[in-house]
Amino acid sequence: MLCPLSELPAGAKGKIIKIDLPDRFSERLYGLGFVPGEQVEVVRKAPLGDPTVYRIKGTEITLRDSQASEIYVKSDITNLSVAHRGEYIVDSLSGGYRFRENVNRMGIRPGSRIRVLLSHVNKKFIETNKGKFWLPFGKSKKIFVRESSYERKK
Amino acid sequence: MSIKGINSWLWILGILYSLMALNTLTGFTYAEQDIIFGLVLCVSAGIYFFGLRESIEKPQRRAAHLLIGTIFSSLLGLFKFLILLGSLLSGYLEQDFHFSVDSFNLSVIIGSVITLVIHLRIRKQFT
Amino acid sequence: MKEKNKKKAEQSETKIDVGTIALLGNPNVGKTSVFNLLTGMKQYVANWPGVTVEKRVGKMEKENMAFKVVDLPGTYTLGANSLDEKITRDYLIEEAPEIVVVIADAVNLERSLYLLFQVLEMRGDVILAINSIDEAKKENIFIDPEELQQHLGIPVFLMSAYTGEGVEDFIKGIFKYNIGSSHVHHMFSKELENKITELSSIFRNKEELKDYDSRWLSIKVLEGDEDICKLTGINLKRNFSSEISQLRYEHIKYILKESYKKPGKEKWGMNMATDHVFTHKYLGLAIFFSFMYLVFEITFTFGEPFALMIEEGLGAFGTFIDGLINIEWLANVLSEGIVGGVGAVLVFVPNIFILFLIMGILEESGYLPRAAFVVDKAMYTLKLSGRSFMSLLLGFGCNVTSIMSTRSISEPQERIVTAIVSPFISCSARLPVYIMIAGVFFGARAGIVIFSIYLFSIFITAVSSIFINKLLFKGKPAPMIMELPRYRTPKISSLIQYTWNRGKHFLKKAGSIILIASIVIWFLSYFPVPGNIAESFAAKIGHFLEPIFAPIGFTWEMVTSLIFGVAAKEVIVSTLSTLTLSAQTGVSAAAELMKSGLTQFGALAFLMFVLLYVPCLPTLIVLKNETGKWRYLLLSIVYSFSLAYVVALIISLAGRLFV
Repeated sequence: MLCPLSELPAGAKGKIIKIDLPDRFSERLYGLGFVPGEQVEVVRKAPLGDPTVYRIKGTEITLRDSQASEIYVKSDITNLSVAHRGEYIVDSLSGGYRFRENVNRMGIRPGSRIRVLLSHVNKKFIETNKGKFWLPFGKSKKIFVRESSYERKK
Repeated sequence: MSIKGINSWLWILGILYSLMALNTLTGFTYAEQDIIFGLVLCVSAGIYFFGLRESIEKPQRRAAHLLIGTIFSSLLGLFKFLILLGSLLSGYLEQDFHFSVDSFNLSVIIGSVITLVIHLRIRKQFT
Repeated sequence: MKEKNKKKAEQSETKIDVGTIALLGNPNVGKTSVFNLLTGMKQYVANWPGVTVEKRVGKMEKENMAFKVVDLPGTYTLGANSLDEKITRDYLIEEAPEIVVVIADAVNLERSLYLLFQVLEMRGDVILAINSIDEAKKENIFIDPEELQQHLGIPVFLMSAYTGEGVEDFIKGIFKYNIGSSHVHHMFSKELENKITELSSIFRNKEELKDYDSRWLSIKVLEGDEDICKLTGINLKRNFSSEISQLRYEHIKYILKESYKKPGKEKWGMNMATDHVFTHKYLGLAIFFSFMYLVFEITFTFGEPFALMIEEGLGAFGTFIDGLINIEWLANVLSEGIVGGVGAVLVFVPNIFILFLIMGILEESGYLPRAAFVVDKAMYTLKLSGRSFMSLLLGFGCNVTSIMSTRSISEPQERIVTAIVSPFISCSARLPVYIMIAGVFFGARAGIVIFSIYLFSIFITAVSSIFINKLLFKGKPAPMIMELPRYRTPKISSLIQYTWNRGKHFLKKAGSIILIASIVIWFLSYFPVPGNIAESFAAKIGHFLEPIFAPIGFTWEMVTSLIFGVAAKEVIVSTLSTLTLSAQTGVSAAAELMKSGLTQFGALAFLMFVLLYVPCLPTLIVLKNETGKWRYLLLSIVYSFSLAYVVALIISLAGRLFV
């Protein structure tokens, strides 16, 4: 699944597909090892949310979200908010205690299955073992999922 | 160092440094009141306590907190020592020694020696 | 004696200047350490012409040969995008050093070689020095230098600037190298090579481009390099820089396949562990502020006794001179003017040296980028970055040190804004003024008043940085692409060198001008009636300027003390005391001012004025040095003075409304 690097959670890995930044930034990124075809790993985010540390070719580099959002990667893990119809497994959640309790009630927790039935611009219709729900954009943005291998086998 | 060891030390040092922080914030005993330094001691205690918050399945994270917490605590002792040295020299030059046993904040200095020892032990786990 | 001198002259004459070596490499590979190893103490720091980027030049000697060594700025690529790259590239093209040494990182060899490839596209006579071999061994990394040498066609040396391993062979290798070897070419894809051939043939026929390597020009044009496209006049519709960089890395991977082996997954090492805590979601900021507090306290508390020693030493010396010379004015100019002036500079020395030492430790250990990372988001709103925050914090002690620390900010635009804005951070020299005036005029509330002054100082700094950034750079924030290098234990010798170089620079530049200014101020306050400051030229100037300050209600004593305060803000208190004759009446200067009718509002206006008006002389000098242009200095003076005046005016008008 193709998505901007800034959308990946800490711990996720992806392969760089395209860098959409002006030359002055992209050239520096190439020099640092950020080239299409390379594996990049999201190490952690700063206490205030921005910037983020990425690991590329064994080096740790920090990038602001405004730059990372123009780097497109193909990753196992993606944000539910940009996921298409299909079967997924929840990888991680980003949010406070309240949020986790909330989505837990809907059957969303790390490791559980989730199926996207309908994908609209600002909400998703999903199915879990607890039933079917509409998820607004804000909530789905905090849920990270992995493509289910069950789907691939089909 | 075993997981149990790490956990124990995190608890012990966390509580120890919280007490030191409280002591420094109030100037209770053998310590001069120093609010900002007291807050810094709180941070030191915080490093230990947050280590205990790490999930049990990730022991290296707990060890990391112990590693950094101890070096931080040791640095505080060094810092206090240098400040005292500076004040001592100033006092000597101005013939005006304005400090007592309290300004030594003994607990911090003793604490830093202990944490240094623990730090050297836990360091081996990471190399 | 003559024999000895003759021998010495003979010895230095027989050293042949073989040429220049340029050192190139990524930031954080230890280039500076290598430079120090090669040149020892025979180095000096200057600026690259027209800019405030540091240039280090030194001499390397062995037997009867000598090389000039130039340390080029650390860079990841040789594009035309940043100042560092431009300086490096221009130097390589215009000065054409005999040998270029590219320094790579043994632990991150793949990335380091990218720069090497770009250099090889440009010229020959390149040597590869792979540094940090000691760290590589610790991680069980295997490197085969012979294999690399074969593939690259240039000499390859493994070494460690930290332990000294391999350094001798490396130096020997440099001296044994035969200058004038051929260029190494690595090939791109067939499609690209065709384009390169096409372009090269065009360039080879152009007279004005004959000094350049045509293949290199072609590659640059295909990459869409701004400068080269302008130079050749060729602008392609599509740029191939993405393909070209990918191909370079493919080639690098191919070369390293047999010659570089790095064991797979790393378990948590010291680096990961340290970063986990230092950039922890909740602890990161707290640790950062704790460190800043510690740095601050040490710089000023530990430096105090040394500053005191210097002050007393100079005081005693001044008295000694005074007693020695009988001519009144001469004794006075020497003891108060010169010794006083020199003293004003020397008193800074302990603090500055300690500060540079600690900054050096923070930088060399690798903590600094982490700190910048943690506070970055907050600074971004001010169009600055985490790195500037650290510099600004130092301003609470002394603005001179905070401006000097901006030297290591990599983005020039950020460096300039930070430097111009730092004087608004209320330094420790202003505190005596606050204490004296607030103490008398606000009594029990003095503490709150002073605290609000500090808050206001932070507020003005923040607002000014947005304003100045908009004014000078149209509000474009600098990008943040920063490497987090491995942590390492700083080497004592490099720390000492670092501290000494920077401290020496300060002494030379600031010292001379402060000395002159001190003599001028002494002159203005001593004449025409020696010993009577109320009748001096300075006081006359104060009276003369009083009307300008009338709307804000400042008396001539206050104006004169402000003029002297330009030299150093601590002077304001002593000048006020002298002028109000408080020593004679035994009452503090502030009380005297109160007696002569100054209101609380007037006092507050004065305090704000002291906070904001023109930075002190040492600060101004350092500001000019670090920003490089007179206009920034002028901007700082005009802006701060106007701001101070406006704020003081508002307060005093408010005073008139409420009283």
